[in-house]
Amino acid sequence: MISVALLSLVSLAQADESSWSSPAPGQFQIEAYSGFPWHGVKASYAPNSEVAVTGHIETARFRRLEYRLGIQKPWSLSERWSVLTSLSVGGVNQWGAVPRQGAQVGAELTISRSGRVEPYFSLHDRELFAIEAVETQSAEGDETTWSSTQYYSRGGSLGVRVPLREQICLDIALQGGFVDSSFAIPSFKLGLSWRTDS
Amino acid sequence: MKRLAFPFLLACSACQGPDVIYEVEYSGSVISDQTGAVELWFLHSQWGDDTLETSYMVIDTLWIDDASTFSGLLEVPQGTGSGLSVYGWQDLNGDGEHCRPGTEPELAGLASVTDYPNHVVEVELILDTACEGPEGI
Amino acid sequence: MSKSKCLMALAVLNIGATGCSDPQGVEYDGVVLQAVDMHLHTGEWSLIPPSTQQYLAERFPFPLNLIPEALSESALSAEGVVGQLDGAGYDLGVLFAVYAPHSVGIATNEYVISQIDEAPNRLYGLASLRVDQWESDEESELLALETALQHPSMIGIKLAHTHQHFRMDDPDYYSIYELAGELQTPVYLHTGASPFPGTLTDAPYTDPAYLEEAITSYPDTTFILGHVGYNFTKKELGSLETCLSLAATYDNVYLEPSALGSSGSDPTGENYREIFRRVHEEGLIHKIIYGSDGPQFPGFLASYTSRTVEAMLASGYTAEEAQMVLSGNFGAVFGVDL
Repeated sequence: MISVALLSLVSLAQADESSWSSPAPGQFQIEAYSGFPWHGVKASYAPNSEVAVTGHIETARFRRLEYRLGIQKPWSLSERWSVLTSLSVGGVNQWGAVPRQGAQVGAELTISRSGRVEPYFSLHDRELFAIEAVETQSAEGDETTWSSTQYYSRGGSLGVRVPLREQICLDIALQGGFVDSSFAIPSFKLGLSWRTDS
Repeated sequence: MKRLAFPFLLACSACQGPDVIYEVEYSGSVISDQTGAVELWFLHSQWGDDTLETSYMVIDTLWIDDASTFSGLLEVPQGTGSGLSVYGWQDLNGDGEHCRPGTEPELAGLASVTDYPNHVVEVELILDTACEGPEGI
Repeated sequence: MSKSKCLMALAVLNIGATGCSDPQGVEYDGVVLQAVDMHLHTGEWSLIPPSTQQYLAERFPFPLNLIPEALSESALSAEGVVGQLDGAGYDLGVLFAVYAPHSVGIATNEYVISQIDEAPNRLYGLASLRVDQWESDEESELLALETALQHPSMIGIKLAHTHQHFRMDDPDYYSIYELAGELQTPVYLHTGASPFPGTLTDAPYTDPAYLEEAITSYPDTTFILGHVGYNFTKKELGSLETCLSLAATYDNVYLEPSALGSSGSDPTGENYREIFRRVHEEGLIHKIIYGSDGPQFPGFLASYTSRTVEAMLASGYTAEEAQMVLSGNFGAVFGVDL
């Protein structure tokens, strides 16, 4: 069943073999995705051939919100193989039984192979500096103090991008690793990307 | 850099309110006919909401060398607790356990801090009940 | 990655962690044995205090910790519990009512009965009562307890002094044991320090030595010392020897080894094996009634069974002795035909 689905996707793939991992110079690219447990939108723009700037917002089960701005730089290893390095800074807000909030910095490394389908593998490390605020009410008055706890979210993704049209691409990925220093159940995503003409 | 970081961090923490601590400077005395160290339990008199509402929830504990005066600073977490009570039991035989079977009865007592909430409180605790927890006094 | 988290991941991905639909029994040394789990929980997330909700949610893997109530209520439902019984090869399970507003929350007698009624051939229950307003409510609470015990599937009483904040040696509460004796219904008591927020870890609330006066005062009442005095906060044997001594001395005392043998409470399994070794050494196999303290997470019952089988094999329990532990002693003590 799965192999039939994959073959169907490959058959839809266009001959365009430019990479979808990062926009080309002057190109704007936006991806919307859903899955378990993440839903999100990521936008990228490459002002030149050296770097692209990104904006990313995603939510897990609508109880955890992550948002980040980043820069990414593509590196060409060969005609087909490329590496993408990314750095980001943003924040996390989580509600419910385990509330958490704070600033988060991250790095990601993705290796991909362009073609009719584009398999990719990425590793990420995001460090959350969760802020806890305590308001102490004393005889001398009220005072708020802050402390910080660091959590790591590390893991990897294994996915495939299937260009459906010159400007539209399907993205399917499995992800695993740790979130906030705890084991995370493997997740999956299904996304659709659109980009402007290069 | 710090000037830039602080508002950013503050913005990230703006969505969830802080935990609130009510600081209480306490002083008091323990009155007992026995001798020995005394363990004091500072308690929310009432705790919990609705079906889960109950009494005497421990906030903090403290050992003092004997039935005497005591003082200190208590941080009372604010949330579903109200009122302040102090329970104490005296360790007559120094075994660290209250009325272990086969040992001499050890006195305990419970006092309600009537002028709470207040940042400065006084309490007098009389140990006159043998082998009871706060729930039994 | 721990085995428990793998099992949860598999359950979420619906790759059949719950096994067959018909109970098969528990395999022990090549023999299939009938098994009963006498310690299981049910309940509603909203009746757990927030501090304990956070304690539990922090132990769920991401993203289940984001909406812990969904996983909790699925696992704690009659369907969830019976699914785990099936997966572990158990015929029967016993659900506990709980009235512990300071710590682990409330699962009322009525709620437990409602869950039992969804699988009456698979589930029994232990009733409980509130003790936090005892001075004013003793009579009404005892009456409500007795009423709950009228249900044919409610076969005992569950108490937890450390969770419910009343001393084991306080005669004010002995009317519970008196009622139990009159009704010939066993009383299960949590012994040992509990890791949950809001519990009292002092000796009068945890050490079974403080129960001896009640045990001797009510010889017609059966006392089951739950968790055999294990210290969950330090992951040590705690009051095991006291429990063994009481079971050896008094005919009306039994033992139950739930929760302490899990990978979280006894990472190497050394303590759990030692407990079964000591029970065997003291000739108390006829006094130990198996329970797991599940369902905890998908696959827990099967996992705990596996660790129990391993512990019994390590101490040379015969299949007959293992059968006593897994179901025979339960049937004898609770008067349930198996």
